[in-house]
Amino acid sequence: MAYKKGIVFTTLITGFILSLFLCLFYRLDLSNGEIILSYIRVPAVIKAIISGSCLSLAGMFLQTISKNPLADPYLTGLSSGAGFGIVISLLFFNSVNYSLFGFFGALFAAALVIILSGFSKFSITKLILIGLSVNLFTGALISFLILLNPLKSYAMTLILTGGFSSADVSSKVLVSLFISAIILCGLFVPKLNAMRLDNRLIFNSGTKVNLYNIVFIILAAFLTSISVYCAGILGFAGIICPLLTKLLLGNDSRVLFFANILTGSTLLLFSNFLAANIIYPLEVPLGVVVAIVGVPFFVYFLLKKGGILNNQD
Amino acid sequence: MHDNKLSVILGLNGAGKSTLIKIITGNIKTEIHTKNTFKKVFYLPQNPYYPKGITSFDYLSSVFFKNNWKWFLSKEEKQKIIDVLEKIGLSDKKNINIENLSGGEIQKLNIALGLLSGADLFLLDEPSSNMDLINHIKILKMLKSLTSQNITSVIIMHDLNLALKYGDMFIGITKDKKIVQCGVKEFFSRENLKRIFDIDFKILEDGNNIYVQNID
Amino acid sequence: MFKILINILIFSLFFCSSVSAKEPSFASLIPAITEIMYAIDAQDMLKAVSSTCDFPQEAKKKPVIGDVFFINETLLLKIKPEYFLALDTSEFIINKYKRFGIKPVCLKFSDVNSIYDNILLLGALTQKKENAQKLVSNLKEKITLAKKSNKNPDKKILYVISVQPFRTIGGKSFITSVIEASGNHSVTGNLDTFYPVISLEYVINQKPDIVLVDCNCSDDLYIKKIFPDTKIVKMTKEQADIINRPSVRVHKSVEFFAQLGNK
Repeated sequence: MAYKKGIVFTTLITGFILSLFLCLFYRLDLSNGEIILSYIRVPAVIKAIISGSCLSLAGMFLQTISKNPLADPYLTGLSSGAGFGIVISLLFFNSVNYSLFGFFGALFAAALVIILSGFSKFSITKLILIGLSVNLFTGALISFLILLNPLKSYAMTLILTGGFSSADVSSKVLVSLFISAIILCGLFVPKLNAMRLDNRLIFNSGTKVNLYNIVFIILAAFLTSISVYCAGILGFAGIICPLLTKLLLGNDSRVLFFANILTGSTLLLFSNFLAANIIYPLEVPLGVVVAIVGVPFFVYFLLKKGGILNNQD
Repeated sequence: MHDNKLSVILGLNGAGKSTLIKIITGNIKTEIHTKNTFKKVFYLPQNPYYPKGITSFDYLSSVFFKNNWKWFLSKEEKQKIIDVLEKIGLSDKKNINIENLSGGEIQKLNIALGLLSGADLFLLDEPSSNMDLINHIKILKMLKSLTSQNITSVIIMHDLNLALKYGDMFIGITKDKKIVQCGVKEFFSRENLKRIFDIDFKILEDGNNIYVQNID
Repeated sequence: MFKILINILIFSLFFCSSVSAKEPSFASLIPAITEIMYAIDAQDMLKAVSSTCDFPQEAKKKPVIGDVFFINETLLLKIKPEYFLALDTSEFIINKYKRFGIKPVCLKFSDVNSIYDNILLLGALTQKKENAQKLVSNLKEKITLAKKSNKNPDKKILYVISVQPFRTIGGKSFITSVIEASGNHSVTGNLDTFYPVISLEYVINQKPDIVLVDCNCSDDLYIKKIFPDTKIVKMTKEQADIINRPSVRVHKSVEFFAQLGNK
């Protein structure tokens, strides 16, 4: 066993609660406490928890089914789809609902990639390559649109790096989306325990492997779109959280499900806290902080217990 | 396929042994209609991938999550896993992570996956491709003993003498892509081996046992 | 042979300098600089402008050489102005035209006084020193007048550039100095940056008296929610243009800020 599960979970839960309290109550000016809590801190906390758990769950699904530790939630063309949606909304609809545009952009891109890769015989390698092509193609379009509109380019670049600043996102919609996604995941997660075996293994008659692969890819795309809706494009969290939990807790997807929700939300809560306070009153882009917080942790555990991740002996 | 027998597929590299197995599993569609009298098929590919960071018990439990909507294993299923571990002689390594097991032990676990899935036709693509002789023999012995439990095995392998010792039926693929299926005596005739492997063999008979050796 | 070459060289040098002595030519990349050129009556020397130069109206009729991000190089080399006017932030872009004989002139606008300096500098370059001096003294007068019109000075003003993410002006922005010149204060004036992304909580805790929202910002509802008891003023496009340009209309900008507390 990698570590005792009890110890790992206690640490995770403590970390989660600590960062939650830091995010909510650190340096809270009581005279404006109500406004600050209800319009700034609570929405940010909700967004951090939702986007963190969505990203790391999506990463876990994709890493398990592709058996590739490098798979990340934006694999299926999601990031560029979301970015394209955001840029379009900022340019032509004047920014009011850019998160919603990002959400639908991401869903659309994911659907496109999944349909394209399923045309003849579905395979994960094909999905990754088609996702990559869509990412590159849309990425080029985004750069073109940004360059064409120099006046808004700074704002667009800032928004594309991700963060919880979007004001229009309704917490109710977000929470209901998240809960429905989590229930769906809860139904399918134990199946990942079978999916972790070699794809070519056939048992129980019939080849349902590809069907489940597609189900998990769709679930991952849905989760990632939710995270795009609340936090824009946050790279990295979706790669390291699943890897970290796998290093700490082994490969049982039922355990990893909860561990990922905790790790993802803790990482983003803590990053959010740092982003707001590290050079207060200025703010650091959240994506930058996530990388700065996450990478040292991750590298430490990688050096210590990296053997588990090798595919070949 | 002959029921409850250990069939061995022999042939040169590229002759189409794996393709033959894939046709049987239905992975490759052909115009030949295969009539399947078996309930369930278990196919073990060459050098299968295995996930790290789980115990051998967890590894075997993977099978039960495939078709059921549940979070926990039932008591019966747990008992089944323990029984199977007992059968393959790994019950003392129940809680050891599979990346710490030897190649032979992992291959035994893979066969145990087939046992747990309840399949009665095992298709194994070179199950002992990079194993030492002892493990090789252990696995073949295990599969042989399974035939007494109504499990039919079809194995691709290259070692003629081991195939001779443990195989009941032999399927050869000749150079002109013809399939020969026959028993021991018929298969290990000089003419037949020449057709399949394109070199001459010396066949030694020693009571009930037959040995082959190539002639330079 | 060698002598002839030297002669040609000397002749061409002489020719060039005599031409430039007559009337230097300019290209401007920044609307504020274009405005100054018109104000000191040097518009004839301005041979090319940027696509963002829209004041005064006649400036739009000049040849357009692009903007800070894309410069139409063929057109620029065809016009071949002697001086290329831009801000210090785009120095690296225009420096590369040095080898074509186009001299980069990078102006720095850090506060109201730098506007005067830059007007005088442009006056010297265009040989319209008198016009420039007259303009500067005129501006100074108007600004003092504008400051006097501020009946309720020392208001705390929050200037919002965008809400998602929340950007405002820092102490290095010249707008801060314009606000100071009007007798009011910018709540974020003590920050040592230009246009920072800033923590919303910080500005709420500063309790600004007036929230000034940029015309491009479209989240008025949200601002109303977080500043329920504060006066919120939304700028028009024209006002925003005047405020954002460190040019000869700066007295109007000072006036605008001075009037904010009065209404």
